[in-house]
Amino acid sequence: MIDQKYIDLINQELDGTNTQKESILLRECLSNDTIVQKLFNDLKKSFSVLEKIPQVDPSQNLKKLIMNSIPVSKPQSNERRGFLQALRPNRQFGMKLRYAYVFSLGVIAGAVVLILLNPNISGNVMSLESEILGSVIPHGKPLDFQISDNFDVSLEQLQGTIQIKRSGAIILAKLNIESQFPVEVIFEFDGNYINFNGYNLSDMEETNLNISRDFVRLHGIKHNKGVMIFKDQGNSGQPMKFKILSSEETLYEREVSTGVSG
Amino acid sequence: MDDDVKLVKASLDGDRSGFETIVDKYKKTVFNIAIRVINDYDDAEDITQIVFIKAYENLETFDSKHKFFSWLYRIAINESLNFLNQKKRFEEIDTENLSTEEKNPEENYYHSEVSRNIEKALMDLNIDYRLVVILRHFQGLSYDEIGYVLDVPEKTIKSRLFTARSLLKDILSKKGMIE
Repeated sequence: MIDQKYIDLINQELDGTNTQKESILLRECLSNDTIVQKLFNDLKKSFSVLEKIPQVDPSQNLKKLIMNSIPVSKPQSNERRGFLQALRPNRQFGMKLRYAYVFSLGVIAGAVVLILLNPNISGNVMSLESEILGSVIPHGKPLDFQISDNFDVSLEQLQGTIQIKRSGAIILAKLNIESQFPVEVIFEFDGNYINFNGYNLSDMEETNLNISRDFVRLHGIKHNKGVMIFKDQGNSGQPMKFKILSSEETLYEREVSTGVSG
Repeated sequence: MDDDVKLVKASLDGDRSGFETIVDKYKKTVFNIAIRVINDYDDAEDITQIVFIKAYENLETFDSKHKFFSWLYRIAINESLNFLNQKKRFEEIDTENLSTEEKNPEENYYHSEVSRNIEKALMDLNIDYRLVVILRHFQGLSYDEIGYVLDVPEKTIKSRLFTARSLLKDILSKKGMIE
């Protein structure tokens, strides 16, 4: 019968958790007790056998499968969950409430942008763009939108034009995308300087919009046209990154200039 | 704040790429835990998907006083055990039926001769012992981390680990894999 103390020492030795003193104690025992020595050697062998088993690689599309299964909406924080749970009896209702909330915001934002950009109301686009800015820059300041960047995207089954305009702190990204299949459009930016302020895109499901501090991500883009509004707080002129993705695969990526308008 | 906690926070803030990085970092480990527990390639992939979906849905319940990977492994073990329970396959998993036909290269590699024999030996262990071997030997977790993942006191982990090693030694000896 082997003393439990030595059994523990053997296991700790195999796990590399013995102190120097404990290791010496075990070594002494091993050199004097052949039963303990045999147990130690046998366990060591089975230990090394286990190390022969390599890690198995999952299939290459596993990540894609996982990401496609993850809901587009962000996970809820404790506070929000608590609040929503108080309002709703079940998850299904909660989702509807959330969709309704996002939808309402989208409708309001869309309506505001539409009204401000509609030439029939304001006379010309430039003056309307100036109206958009009414809430963010002092009244009366002349707006002078200048093109910061302008480029076409031409892929096998996707065509698009993107124009970046700027006046003061306001950046407008005008998109026109025609794709044979749904893609994701992403604008990445440094959230310390640039914020996403709103959008108005045709055929855009509000639930397909994912906004974070450093990016805005539009899902399900296929035949969409419209404008996205950003604000560059400190007139930093930081560039943004424009990306088009399909099934997590990057189809197009380009740094876009936001320029610095006087 | 460690990198994983930052990624969790970013994910909670709606940064999908934060969670994508988590998936990238841990998909292989989670998959390997699942495959060691249930011994089936396709089912292990299904479980890996479920683990990440559950992790995402419950991300706000992660307590940063624990390591993120321990929390994730805990979900992985629970999901693997649920799978075994649902399939009522605790005792009747037939490792002989694992055919290498029409499997992808990774899968075929997994079923190489040596690893198949060791896998069989592992599958002969009672599930409690198998889990500690998986977490200790394949994932390199410490006693207290295993204790957290399995929700069992550290002392029990040590004891199970020793018994598991002894049993494994006997099984491997009988199979002629160690002299």
